[in-house]
Amino acid sequence: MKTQNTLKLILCFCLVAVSSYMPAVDDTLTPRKAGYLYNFTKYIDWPAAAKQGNFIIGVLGTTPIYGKVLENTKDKKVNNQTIEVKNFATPAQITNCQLLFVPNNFENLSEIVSKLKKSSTLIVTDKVGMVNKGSIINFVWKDNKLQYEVNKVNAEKNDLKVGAQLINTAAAVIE
Amino acid sequence: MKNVSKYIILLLFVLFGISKTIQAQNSAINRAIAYQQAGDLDKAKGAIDSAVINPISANDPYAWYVKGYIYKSIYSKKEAGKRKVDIRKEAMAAFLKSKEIDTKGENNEDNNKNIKYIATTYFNDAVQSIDSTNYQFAIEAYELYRKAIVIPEPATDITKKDIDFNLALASMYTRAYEANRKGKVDFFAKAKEAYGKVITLDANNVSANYNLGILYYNQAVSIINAMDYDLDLVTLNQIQDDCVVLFKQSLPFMEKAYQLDPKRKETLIGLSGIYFSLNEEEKSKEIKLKIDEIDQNK
Repeated sequence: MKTQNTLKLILCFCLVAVSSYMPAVDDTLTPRKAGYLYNFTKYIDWPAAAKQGNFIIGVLGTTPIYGKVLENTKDKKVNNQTIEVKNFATPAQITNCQLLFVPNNFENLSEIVSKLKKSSTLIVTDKVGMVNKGSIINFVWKDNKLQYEVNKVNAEKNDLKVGAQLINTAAAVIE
Repeated sequence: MKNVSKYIILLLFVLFGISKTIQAQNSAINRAIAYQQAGDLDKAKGAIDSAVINPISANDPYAWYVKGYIYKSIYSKKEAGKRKVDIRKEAMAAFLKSKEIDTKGENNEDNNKNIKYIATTYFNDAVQSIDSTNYQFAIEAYELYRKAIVIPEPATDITKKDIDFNLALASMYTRAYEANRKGKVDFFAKAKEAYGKVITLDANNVSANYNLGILYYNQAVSIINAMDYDLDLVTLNQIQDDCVVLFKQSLPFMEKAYQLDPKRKETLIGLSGIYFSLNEEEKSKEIKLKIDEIDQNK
């Protein structure tokens, strides 16, 4: 008995596979920008004429923002207006819209601004300095996160009233 | 003279009585062994349980060894693979008791062999129970293994086993969490803790550094992707703050993984994503170039 001649140690030190997980998609900016674009519509007061028909969000150029906005504004409304998302390939193709997003690969904002003069369009840009070149809201990076600056003067030129919360949560406000 | 004779006779009776009692106890131990060998483990258990509580054999290291052996046999025959530890705990306690009172070390080798065997069964149970349902048993079994395996040889280094076990555990938590973020919310913290243990034991463990970095990074990405667009601006801002914290928590682990294995593509993808999310464009581009290099050299 003491010799334990029948005892067998079952040494099955199984190797446990340790998986490596793949990083998720690396574009964490597009959803944030698209989220802000939709949210901006809640804090801007458009003139009565712009509150007729569909609420058109225009996206200029080739950018993943277009698809994301399209996907996330489905079935959503702005003041009872059905949201319609349009993609304009070039500035020349821009037609009447309540909000226009201009991605950072467009240098010549003045062309767009003059085209949309007195059109009640909220121009949203994504490049440093654009807020001084005719943009009303411009995305900026501050404290490692996406924020925005607001140019109230440009908003007033386009007959838009900027709500208090949009001002309060802005990284900078130009008055 | 008559009185002396009386005392001698009395003493002989006492000695005879003691001898009979010892024989009875020895036969109880032998009976237990016989039952065990015949496969009647219930009777073997009854016999040995009586023997070890009897004052005559309560301090017999062999009796306690036999108890451990019978209990171990019960485990092997009736409880192996059933995720139960009670019988093994009793077997282990008996072997330990035997070792404690075995001043001559006569049973030491057998006790140690059996303690190692039980430790091994705990380890196997732990490894086989690493899943989202039985993980608590896996942890319990692994802790029992850790305590047991060093008893025969206190200098045994179990660091590598600790690393492997915690990596496997963390991996399971991550897998379960990634598959069901809402249902397994607590697995995020459990995964962090398990990877953290590995890094404490081995700061240069590539797998733990990479996976912990990815855990934080994927959490931030998931929060952003699940963002409800009807949230107000303050909440939107708060979500970003939370994500920045996660990206920053991810960064040192991913940088460490990169430092340890600069050519691992997954690490480069993760690192590039973190830099991008923190708007460190130059660094992100630099890493993307390295990914392109790897792709070109394939």
